[in-house]
Amino acid sequence: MNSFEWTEAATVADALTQVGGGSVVKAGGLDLLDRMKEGIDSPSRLVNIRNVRELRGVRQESGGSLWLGPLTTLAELDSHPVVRQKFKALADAAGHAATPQIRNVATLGGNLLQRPRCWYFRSEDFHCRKKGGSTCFAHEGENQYHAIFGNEVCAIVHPSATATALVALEARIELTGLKEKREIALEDFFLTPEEDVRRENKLGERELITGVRVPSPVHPVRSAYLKQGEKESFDWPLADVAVALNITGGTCRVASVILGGAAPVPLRASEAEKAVVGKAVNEETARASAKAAVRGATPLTQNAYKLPIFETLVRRALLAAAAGAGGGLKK
Amino acid sequence: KSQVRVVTEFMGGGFGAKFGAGNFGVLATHLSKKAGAPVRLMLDRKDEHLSVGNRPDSVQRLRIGAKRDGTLTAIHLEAYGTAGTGTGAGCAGPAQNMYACGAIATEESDVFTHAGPAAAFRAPGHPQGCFALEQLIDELAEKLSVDPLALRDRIDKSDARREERRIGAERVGWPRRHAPGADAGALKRGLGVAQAVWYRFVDMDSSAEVRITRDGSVELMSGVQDIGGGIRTALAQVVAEELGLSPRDVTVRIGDTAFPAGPASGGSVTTGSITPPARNAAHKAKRQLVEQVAQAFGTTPDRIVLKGGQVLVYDTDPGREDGDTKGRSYKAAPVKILSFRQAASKLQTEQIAARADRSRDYSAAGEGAAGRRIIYGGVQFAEVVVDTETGVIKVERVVAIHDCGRPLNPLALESQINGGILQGISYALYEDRVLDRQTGRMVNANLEQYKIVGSRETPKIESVIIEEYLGRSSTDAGGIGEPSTIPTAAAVANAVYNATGVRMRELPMTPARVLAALGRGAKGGAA
Repeated sequence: MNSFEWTEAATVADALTQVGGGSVVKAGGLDLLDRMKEGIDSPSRLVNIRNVRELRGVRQESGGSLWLGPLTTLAELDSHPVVRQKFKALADAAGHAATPQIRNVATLGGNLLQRPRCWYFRSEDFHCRKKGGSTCFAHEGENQYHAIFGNEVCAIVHPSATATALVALEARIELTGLKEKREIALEDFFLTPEEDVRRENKLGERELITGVRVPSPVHPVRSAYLKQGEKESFDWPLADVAVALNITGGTCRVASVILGGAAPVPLRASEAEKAVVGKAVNEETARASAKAAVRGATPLTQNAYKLPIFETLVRRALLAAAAGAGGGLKK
Repeated sequence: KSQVRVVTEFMGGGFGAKFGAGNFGVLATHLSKKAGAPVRLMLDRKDEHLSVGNRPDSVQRLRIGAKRDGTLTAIHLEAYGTAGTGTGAGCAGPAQNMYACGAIATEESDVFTHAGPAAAFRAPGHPQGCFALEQLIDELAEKLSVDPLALRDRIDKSDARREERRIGAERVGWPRRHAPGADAGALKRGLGVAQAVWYRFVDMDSSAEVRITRDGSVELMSGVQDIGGGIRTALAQVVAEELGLSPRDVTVRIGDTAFPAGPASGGSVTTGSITPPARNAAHKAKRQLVEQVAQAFGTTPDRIVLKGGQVLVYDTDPGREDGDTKGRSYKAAPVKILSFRQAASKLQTEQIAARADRSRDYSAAGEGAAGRRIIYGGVQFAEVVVDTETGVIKVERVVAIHDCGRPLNPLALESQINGGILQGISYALYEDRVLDRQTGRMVNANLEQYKIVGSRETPKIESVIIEEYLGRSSTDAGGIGEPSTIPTAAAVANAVYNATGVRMRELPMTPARVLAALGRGAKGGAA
């Protein structure tokens, strides 16, 4: 690891004047330190933002939406009563990521911004497209954990479980720069490799995430998040799914079905959504929706097995969400 | 060698990787000599994966011939494996040694590759060999319409394993085992069994010294090292028992070549090799102590008893606590009761010491002469649940019955069995050295992507140790480190067959492979 400087930031404005040109912010530092140790990143300066109070907190807003500070830890999201009660998919996504130790330190902002786990990307030995090279080594190589959709240019899967859940919950993200603040749909925050293979999101070099906002519609959202890894302890998902349903009078009015671990961005399964809107969510419709979710997939040489897993998770997540309080992941 | 000293107070896990200095160890030594300075060598996880050597893989073609009554007539094994540019990928041990069979032919080939070296890994070749053999025996049982345990009863000459099968079957509830794939619904349960064979090796370079000092302190010294099996504790127990003390009264000093030469920890030889010399040395030291105490009190050595931390002096035949051949127990009262410390203060010199080397095993009748190899058994039963919609296997329970001569420390043995089973499950379900097929580079040389069992994958483990006193040495202890991991993957695979009706022929049994075996590889879920 190269030597680096360490500074503190007391406020967002303070941090913004220090970032850029080799200086990066450090919140939990989990992914950042991994990348530094693996030789993928060598920032000259780390700006510690863990003590910036404006970035903390979970607050109900007057319009009913929930504001989440980017420094909120995954453990806090898992256990916060409002998140647990009203946005179960988010609580479960946060609560089943990584390990308890990591969840105590890892932040929401960091989780959204973490870079992919692709072993070619993470290895100094392979100069892949995402690092400025001209090849995606997963295509002809070991791709069992890689994307089954949108994988022509680069086959990474988006690694953030909270992103999967938040996109299903129609969250919005607040980005603050030196001169301006903007808020966009979280779904639009992520970049496909076709748009820009060198990055995964639209955060500017001199911008900070300063909030994530989860809307709270009139009729309560029923959500569920399911994750399937090869193991349960400390493993990335082979596939994960977040579902958010608006069901009134026994009929599903609005459905969000988002696949994680399927594509370089959290992927909306539009066909799966259409298959349940205007219908009751039951074994039959859930099954049809699940089938639709994997239609059009373009698996690589070793990851076609993900299709039946995604089908299973979509079906189970839809039924769990529709059932309300019960179902979903066990603790 | 008298100019070289090796100190290994705590080895940490080795499983074979630390059995020798390795190229890197030798290089560090040369560097130190050249530089005239200390050299610190530390291999990180990536270095361990790439440089130290890995468990060889195995591709096996196995055929078994049998009569209708189950008697095996022929076993033919053709096996290939790679140990890098060296040899060591054999896996014929189980095929050759597990079952009685008239004609056994095994052909093992090492394939040379430039994909990293191999190292011995906990029962080299045996988990691999068992994975094939024990599944094929199960297939044979099915073909013969015989229960897998009943078939093994017919063809297995090992008394220990017979008893282990009986105990395990009862513990695990073998009669509730249903036909393969019988459970309705996506989650399917199954029970499977597999067994182990390992061999009694003795390292004759096993010596120990026991010192008793005038202040009552007792030390055991040996060059043996603790690789996690708890030999320190076993040694304290053995010496303490001989001297009528409790283990905490014995200071065990190991892991230093300044002490009498001890065995290296491999082949599951440690306990069986070093505890007899330790006992013998303690016995010799006791005799010296007793001799001198007797003199001090004007009595004879046969009238001194060491018991419960005390030294009891009699002026007549004390009898025996457990009754002598005529059933007499201690009748006489001691004329003097000393603490061990008080007794030691009677020593004529500051310190007495005795050393013992490992003597050859006493032969049990028929062994060697009949050419019978001395083996350890071990039978494990696994209960699994397979989610046939996701391909995920969960091992819920393992019942393990093992033998290791005289068990010295049941808790430490249970620990070894737990560890062996956990490694066996990792081998069965997760471990995989993923090499990029274009460049041969390992892409998962870290603990994140080289997967092993974690807390949530740990099954309920019940272990039973049967005691087989064969009178081979003065402690009659055997080994457990390797037997405990040999049959696990095979037991899990047999359980998966029982659960789903599909045979897994490749390790690790990943969701991808399970789904493919179920015919659900690329397509959608339920038929």
